[in-house]
Amino acid sequence: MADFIRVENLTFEYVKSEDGTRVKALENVSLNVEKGSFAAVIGQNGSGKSTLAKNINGLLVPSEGKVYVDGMDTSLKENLWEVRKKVAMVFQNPDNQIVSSVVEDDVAFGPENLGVEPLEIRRRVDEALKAVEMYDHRKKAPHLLSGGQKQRVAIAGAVAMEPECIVFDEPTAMLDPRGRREVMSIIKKLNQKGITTVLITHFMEEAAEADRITVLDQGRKKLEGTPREIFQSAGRLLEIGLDVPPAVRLSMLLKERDIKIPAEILTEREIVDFLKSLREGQCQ
Amino acid sequence: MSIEVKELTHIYSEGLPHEATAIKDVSFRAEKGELVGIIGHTGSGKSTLAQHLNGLLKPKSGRIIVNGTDITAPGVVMRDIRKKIGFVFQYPEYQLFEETVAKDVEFGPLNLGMSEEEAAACAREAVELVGLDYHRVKNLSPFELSGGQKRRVAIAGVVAMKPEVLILDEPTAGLNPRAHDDILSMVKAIHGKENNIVFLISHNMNDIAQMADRVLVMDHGRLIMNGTPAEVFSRADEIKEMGLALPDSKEIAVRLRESGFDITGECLTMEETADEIAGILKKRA
Amino acid sequence: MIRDITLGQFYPGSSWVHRLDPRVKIMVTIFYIVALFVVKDFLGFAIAAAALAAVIIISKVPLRFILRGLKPVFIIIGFTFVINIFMLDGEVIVSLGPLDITREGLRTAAFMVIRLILLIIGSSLLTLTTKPMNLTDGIESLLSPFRKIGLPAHELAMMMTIALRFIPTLLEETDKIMKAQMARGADFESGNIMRRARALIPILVPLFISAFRIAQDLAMAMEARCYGSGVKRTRMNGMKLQRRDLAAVLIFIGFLALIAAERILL
Repeated sequence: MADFIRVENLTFEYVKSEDGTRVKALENVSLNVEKGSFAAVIGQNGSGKSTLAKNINGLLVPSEGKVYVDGMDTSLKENLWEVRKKVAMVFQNPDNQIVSSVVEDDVAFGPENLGVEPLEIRRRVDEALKAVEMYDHRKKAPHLLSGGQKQRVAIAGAVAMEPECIVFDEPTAMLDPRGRREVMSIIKKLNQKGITTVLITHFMEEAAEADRITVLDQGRKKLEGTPREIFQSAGRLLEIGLDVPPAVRLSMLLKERDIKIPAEILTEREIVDFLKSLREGQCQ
Repeated sequence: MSIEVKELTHIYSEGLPHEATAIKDVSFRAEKGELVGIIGHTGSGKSTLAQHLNGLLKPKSGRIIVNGTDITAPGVVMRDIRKKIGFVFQYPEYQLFEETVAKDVEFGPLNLGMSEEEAAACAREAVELVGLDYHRVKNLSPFELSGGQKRRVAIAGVVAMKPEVLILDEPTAGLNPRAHDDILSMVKAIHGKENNIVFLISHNMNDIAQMADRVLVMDHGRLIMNGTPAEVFSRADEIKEMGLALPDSKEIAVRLRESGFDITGECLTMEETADEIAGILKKRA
Repeated sequence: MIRDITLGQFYPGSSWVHRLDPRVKIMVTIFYIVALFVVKDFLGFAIAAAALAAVIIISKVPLRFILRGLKPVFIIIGFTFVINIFMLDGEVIVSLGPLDITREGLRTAAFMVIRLILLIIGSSLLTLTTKPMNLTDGIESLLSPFRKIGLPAHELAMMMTIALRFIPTLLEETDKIMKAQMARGADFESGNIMRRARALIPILVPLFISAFRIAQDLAMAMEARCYGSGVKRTRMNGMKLQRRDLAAVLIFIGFLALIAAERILL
């Protein structure tokens, strides 16, 4: 399938306000995201992953290199709003991205900015709120909602713009486990409906859900591949201060104890099933 | 040193239509040197409970006795309570306000009536205890630091008050894996050095399983369980029914046991689980 | 105390008054206030009060709820009364030392107090029956003709919308910061004014930083949602005048005519 997002040798520099030195938040990063796929970007704080997210929809533009969204160069002014229409964004802090004091009015904000007809806005808002399972709360004030619910409202705000892609910039970092589960299930559901998904995160279980993972460290791309490929390099992930999913960690520990676990095992269910079959094999 | 909570009950917005019981009949006791984990999902009452422990909230009924003094009694001087009980809120870096790290950390000790010299000495000790180089950071603005460092400075601000009871509400919230581990080792270091009572509120069961001597489980404002991590997490079904998770190592162990593995250990760390599995598989071979 | 102020609060409901177009309600409120200053005798005030009573009854907002909002302004009302009562020369009724209470003073003071009470109830009825968001929309729409002379009507309304949205968030934040600093031994309650003012710094600095962070995040989020794209914005809930709005305007013109007639003829 065609690449919806193409990041080519992206370098992003900024000037530190304290001492005026130039810092490279991203250096020579390349990355492609296929239309309709689910891409995860993982990395430590300061790895440049949020900067990458903001480069994808033109909130930031490359210092060097290019970012193309559906073939459009994001650095050209005339493409800017077209790019943002196609790539919506959801941010980390659920509170600081909701504009209105009524849920449904907030969801309408994006389409209103695009000049969509009122009746069509109504349809989109209702549909988006249903998609994130927040329709029953449409008349509520955002500050009365839980973190997970607020984040779902923010997602509805993105969905109502009918984008082809949504970039999620650490959407679960500030949520409790329940909120994280709610938000992740919505993200997966939207991706299954065909929305190209870019998820920036530091939770490995979340990245494991993606089709492809890109690992950033200190502004550079360190690893890239499917979750199975990435988590086979568990040692390197731990080296750059990242984690691995529990099943992978157990595999590593079992290997140290002379029990060979196939490298493709990623989830708890897979490792339990494998160990079960191993034991049954012994019994016979 | 001990802290004892007796039949504590708190009601929010009493007398108003949206009145709600936040905690009900909570009783427990913690002794010097204990690290007590408090778990429960959002709204279970664990934060409300913690805020009572240093007098930020007043109970409707019940008592909290710290070293023989009832801190819920009328006429208690709040400053005396705060001297004994430190509270680190969630995202504590949002409370930093001074021009320099040193001044910010000294704020608490000075409020307790320490002299400038004493406060500076306590600040220095606390900053090093949270793993920062005092001489390098003391004159920096706290706002120049990285996220993880800011959090350490904020925690140092409470540690510098030398509390005999230290309450930490989600100290690792929002941090990435390495910073997360660093904060946990820091908590262990503080606990080891001060030998105080630490209450650790967390959603992360792995952390609780590894760190806590004892776990309090809150649900719907009530204290449902009070025991060692091994005891609490062995009640897997009840824990899950409350919408809580098990530590990853325990979760895998439980699933293996359901598939016929004869796992008897506590499996509170992944190493233990690996040992158990290896033991079973090798015995057969 | 803060909770008691109903001024500016919304009382949820679906009465005829609630459903009126916010623009109509704003204009009616403004002209009602003007009318209160035209009225000069008890009959006129009686008419104005009766009209207000009728609107309250139709709006189904409990009188108790409205009066609770008056509590904080009692002091101002009392003050107005006392000032007015002594300020006018005329037929002396009672003498209190150097101060005389005159018939004219009493009359004027009574009028001032009635006027003030009607004014406050009238304007709080506007906010009690109109959602803040709709009020903002109404103001934006009413101000939009002035855009031609450079008045940023939309921007003003957007500012109000955001302020309404973030007041609860900032209050929550304040509460959290205050508790955190109290846990560090901060004392906000004792000492003289200077001490107390200084004690606020540990709250104000983090709060300011918080507000700044919100502003930064929000600006980015709004940009990402194509705010300021240059396309003419549309509104989901566009305001359209209904038949009931026309009826309300006609009835209100009737009221104004009555007030005018009373003033001129009697």
